Amino acid sequence: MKKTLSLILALCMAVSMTAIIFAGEVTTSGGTRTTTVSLITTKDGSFNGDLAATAMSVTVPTSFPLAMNPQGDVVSADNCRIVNNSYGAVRVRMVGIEASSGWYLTAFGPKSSLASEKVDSHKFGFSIKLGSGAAKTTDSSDAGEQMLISAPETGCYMTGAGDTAGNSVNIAYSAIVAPVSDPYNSINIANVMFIIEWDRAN
Amino acid sequence: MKGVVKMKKKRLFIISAALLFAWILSAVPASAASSATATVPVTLTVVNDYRAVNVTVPAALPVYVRNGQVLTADSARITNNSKSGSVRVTAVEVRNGALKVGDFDSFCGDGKIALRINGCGTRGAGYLTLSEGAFPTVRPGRALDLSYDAKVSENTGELENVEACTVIFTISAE
Repeated sequence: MKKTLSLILALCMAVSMTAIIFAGEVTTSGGTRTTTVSLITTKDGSFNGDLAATAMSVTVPTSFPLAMNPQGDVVSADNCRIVNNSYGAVRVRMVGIEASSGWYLTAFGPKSSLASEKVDSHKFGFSIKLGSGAAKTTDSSDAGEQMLISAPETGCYMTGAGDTAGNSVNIAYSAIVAPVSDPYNSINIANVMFIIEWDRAN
Repeated sequence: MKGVVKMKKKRLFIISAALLFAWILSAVPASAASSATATVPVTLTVVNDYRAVNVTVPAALPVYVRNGQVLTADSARITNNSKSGSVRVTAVEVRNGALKVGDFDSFCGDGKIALRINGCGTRGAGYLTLSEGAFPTVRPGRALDLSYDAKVSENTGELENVEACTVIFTISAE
């Protein structure tokens, strides 16, 4: 009895450690047999490795630099983009902006729209455009946080890294900033939050 | 005896089934994180050319009163030392010092002084009303001559190097 039990246990272990290919026998002429195609996803790509899904790897800009001259003209970087280094397609699900402490969001527009603002009011308007999508701008609500993109839309989609023509989207951004009485050197006035997700079939 | 064997077979079946079930369970894919969040800071740099302003203003506007005659310096000037960028005097304020600031055009009273700088006279302590063209733009490397007159009350007594009043020039980059 013990031998039988040991045999069964050994069989179970052996089965769990190896990829099994059961042979199907066709015994009659014209007989059919269906062979299943099985898939296992593992970290090391082996049949007995640790299970793992496709890894997501997306690069976003480290910062959105803005430079303003004494006349109030704001210059932004023109080489920002999101790059999908993953094997699978991804999309930007949400983009939001949160003003840093002491700074306040206001409606984006021409810089003349801030002409009536007090100096050092620390207000700024922000605009962002992903790829061929529409520009999304902050509004005049006093909220410290504003949603710029609430659901994936044109410009938010990236193919997998295998398609170098489609695995990235350019980011065009701009801002207007109320006058300031002191110079600043790369201070953080806001954070832009991106949520990236798989571009799923369903 | 048959019952014992049956029990052992049943136990064996249960153990085998459990092991098989465990093996099947181990083949269910683990769920992976389906989204990621990234935060990108927006940084602001304000390039302020005011830092480059380099202007020399007179250390003093000397006023001498000798035998009732008021003499002033004719070499006072504001020099724009910048290599680029013009500047302009946007405000002139005269504050009381050892003497009170009076009205230049209708000067009277004791212990007072009145000034007229580039044609703009005091009306008391405070800002001068700058007439158009009195303080034109000073280009880089150029200087703006300051022509000033003074009136001092006769009864001030003997004074020497006192700070009769203070003149504050506000200079802005163009």
